[in-house]
Amino acid sequence: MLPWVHLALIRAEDIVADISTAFEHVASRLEDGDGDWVWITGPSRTADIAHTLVLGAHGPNALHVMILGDDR
Amino acid sequence: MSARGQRDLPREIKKALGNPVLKQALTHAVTRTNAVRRQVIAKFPGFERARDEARAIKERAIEKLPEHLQVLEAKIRAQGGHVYHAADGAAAGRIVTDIAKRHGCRRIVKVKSMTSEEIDLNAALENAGLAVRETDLGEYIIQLTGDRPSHITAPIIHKSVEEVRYAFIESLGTSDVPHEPEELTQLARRVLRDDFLAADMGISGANFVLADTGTVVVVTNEGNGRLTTQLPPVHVAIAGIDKVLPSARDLLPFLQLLPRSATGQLLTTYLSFISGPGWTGSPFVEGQQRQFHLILLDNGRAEMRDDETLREALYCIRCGACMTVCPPYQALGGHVYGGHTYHSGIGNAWEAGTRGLDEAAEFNDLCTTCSRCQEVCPLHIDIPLMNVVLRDRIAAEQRPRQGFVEGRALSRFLPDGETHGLELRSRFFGNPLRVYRMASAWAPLSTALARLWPSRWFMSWAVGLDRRRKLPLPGRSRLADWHRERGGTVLQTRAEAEALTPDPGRSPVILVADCHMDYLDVDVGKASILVLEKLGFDVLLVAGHCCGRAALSQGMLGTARQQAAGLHGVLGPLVGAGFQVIGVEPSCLAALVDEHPRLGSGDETVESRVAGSCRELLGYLDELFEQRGTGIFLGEEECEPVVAILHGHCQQKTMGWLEPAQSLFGKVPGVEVRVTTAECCGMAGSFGFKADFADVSIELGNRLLQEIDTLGAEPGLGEAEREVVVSGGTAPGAPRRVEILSSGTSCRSQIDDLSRNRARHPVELVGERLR
Repeated sequence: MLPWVHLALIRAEDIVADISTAFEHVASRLEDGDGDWVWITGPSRTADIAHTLVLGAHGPNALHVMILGDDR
Repeated sequence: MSARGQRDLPREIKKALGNPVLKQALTHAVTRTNAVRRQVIAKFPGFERARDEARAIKERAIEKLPEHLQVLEAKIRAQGGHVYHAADGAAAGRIVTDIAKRHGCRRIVKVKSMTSEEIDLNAALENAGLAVRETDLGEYIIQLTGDRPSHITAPIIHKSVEEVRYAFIESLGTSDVPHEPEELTQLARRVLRDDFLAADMGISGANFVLADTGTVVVVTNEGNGRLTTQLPPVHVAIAGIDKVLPSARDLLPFLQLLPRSATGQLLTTYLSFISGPGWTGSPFVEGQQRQFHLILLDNGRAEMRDDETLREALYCIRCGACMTVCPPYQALGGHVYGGHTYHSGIGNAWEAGTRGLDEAAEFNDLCTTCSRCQEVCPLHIDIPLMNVVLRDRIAAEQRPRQGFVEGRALSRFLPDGETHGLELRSRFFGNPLRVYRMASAWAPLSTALARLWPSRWFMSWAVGLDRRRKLPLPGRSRLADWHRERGGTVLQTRAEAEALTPDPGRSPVILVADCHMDYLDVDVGKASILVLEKLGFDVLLVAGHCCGRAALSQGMLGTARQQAAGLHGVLGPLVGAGFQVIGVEPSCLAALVDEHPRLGSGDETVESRVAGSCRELLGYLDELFEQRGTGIFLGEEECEPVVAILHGHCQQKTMGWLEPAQSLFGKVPGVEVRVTTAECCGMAGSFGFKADFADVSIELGNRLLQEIDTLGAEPGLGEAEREVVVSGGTAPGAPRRVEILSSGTSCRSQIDDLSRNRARHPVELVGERLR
């Protein structure tokens, strides 16, 4: 959260089709007592000042996702 | 009303309307937000299903709240967290201060929480000697300027960039402050980063609390939510008890609704699930056990739960969509249209619940009951109905009934069904049928008299009528008389309805003559009847009963129930016999379809049967032309080409009756229809006639006229030529006449009053183009 750039490494087999599937996964892990999760969908942002979008509010200004093991 | 309490609402309104910075900032933000929300929701086919699911879950959650709270408490404790119940703000303040003392915390960072705003938590903590820093950018500016948020998710929606810049100059003590939002944001990031790293306590709210897994869910975009809840060794979450959902499995529809409705995002950037103290791996808390404390705040919520009207407000997920679409909010912002914490329509219920009815009484009159909020509320909360119930309660608390004057004298002319007293203006505006009847009996003398200045002065004194406004008054002839004279059937009593033996060979259909159409807009009624007759129907006109809409808007619930029961007396036997009921005025028809079943005015079976038998005229016609083809229309070459600007009436849009009207004009020859996007014309029944609110109404009306101006102009017209379009007639260079159409009586009278144009009901244009 503190650095300016966030590089996320993701295993290809961890990618799911949609939010319902992802949520299903998180809900069952929450039920198993695995209670802390964060979903990140992009760089930190705000539009508080004059409704103008600015990236890099408190967290990273850029999010890069590297997908590992994608054979395509 | 100024008489009600501390605030001088008319003065606040004047000040807000005269503030160009506020107008610019608000208009920009609400226009963009509404447009983005609409697009995003249109692309999500599961939206309606998610709404219904979420509503059902919330109803269940609140119904069994005490049980869910028990489950939650046990779970949080089992996970190593602490749980507290705070009866009110003072208790919550003490709890947080105690936690700080116990763990030696002195510097607090906070992530935006309206619950904390509600109880003025910052003040309590600062009084205890703690340093508090808001870290949401908007809240930070609010804190720097000693201001209050004016929107639930966009706290500084009312501020311009320059005002924000000035806040930095003041607080940092240097004029070396940048001008652009981007650089200002980076400046705030640098300043606040130090606060994050130095903080020993983080305070958050909670968007949702999941009982069965003991999880607090926080949604943010800036990332301050993560930093606040994960960096400091102590995390205190404060949540209203209404935020509790029974189970983690219940969350999904809310995640689909909240970001879309709030900011038009599919998901916010960060979505945190926090169950107990969590990770201990943070380098900043090495060697220490992290602490997690959850404060469950009541502050009036338990009483709201027991209140059958206010309970619905507990379903609110604080997206703020109802605010950005609210016409008075769009014109005034949340500082004028709002209370201590909460703004706009839903703010009435929340202020009444958390601070008492008096707080809501200060601004309750600003709700025009236009219903635009009802359409966008992801939880289907009936905000307008909640506000009129509160209006009724405010009158009951503030106005004891004056035995003789109200019991005998006034109610002879303007009857009511209340047990409490009424302001004369409520009695007047809540009785359109009586007013029209009296004026019609004395017409045209009444109209001539009403235009004279002594009568205007009198009306302004007696019922608060704005002196600039011309009250629309009826002539002598009534639609019902016209129909009867030409041999048509008019039904005014239950007995007449029961005795009816229609000729089934003549396809009978019921047309409800609302008060306005019966007395004022007789031409609209005639056009409706003639169009239906050309389509082969025998029109049976139900007349002489008000639907109660006007009384309802005045908060005269008892009166509205009585009036509704009168109308149902006639309609009941007719729908029982299987007749289709057609309505013309959207707000009157919406009363029958939407409000009456929830008002409890009489027989529930009759009410729901009537509601189920009602059809809106334009949608009904569209369906008929769809089935029978458009052969009944004149040929394209026989019709003058016109540009029709269709302005949707509020309830027409909320009830989904605008799209069929648009589709209808796709079938009418020679008409190109262009639809306005303004939420409301600003008239909203009697709202625009009242001196206290006429300025708001005129501001909204002028915005609509500007849009009509732009829509009506043929592309490439200059400024001067556009003016001609608005003033009526043909624009130079444009071969087509411009027609302004609206189904709403109020909308038409607003357009007529503020421009030189005359707006017509769409059915009048349809009628002209039939063979």
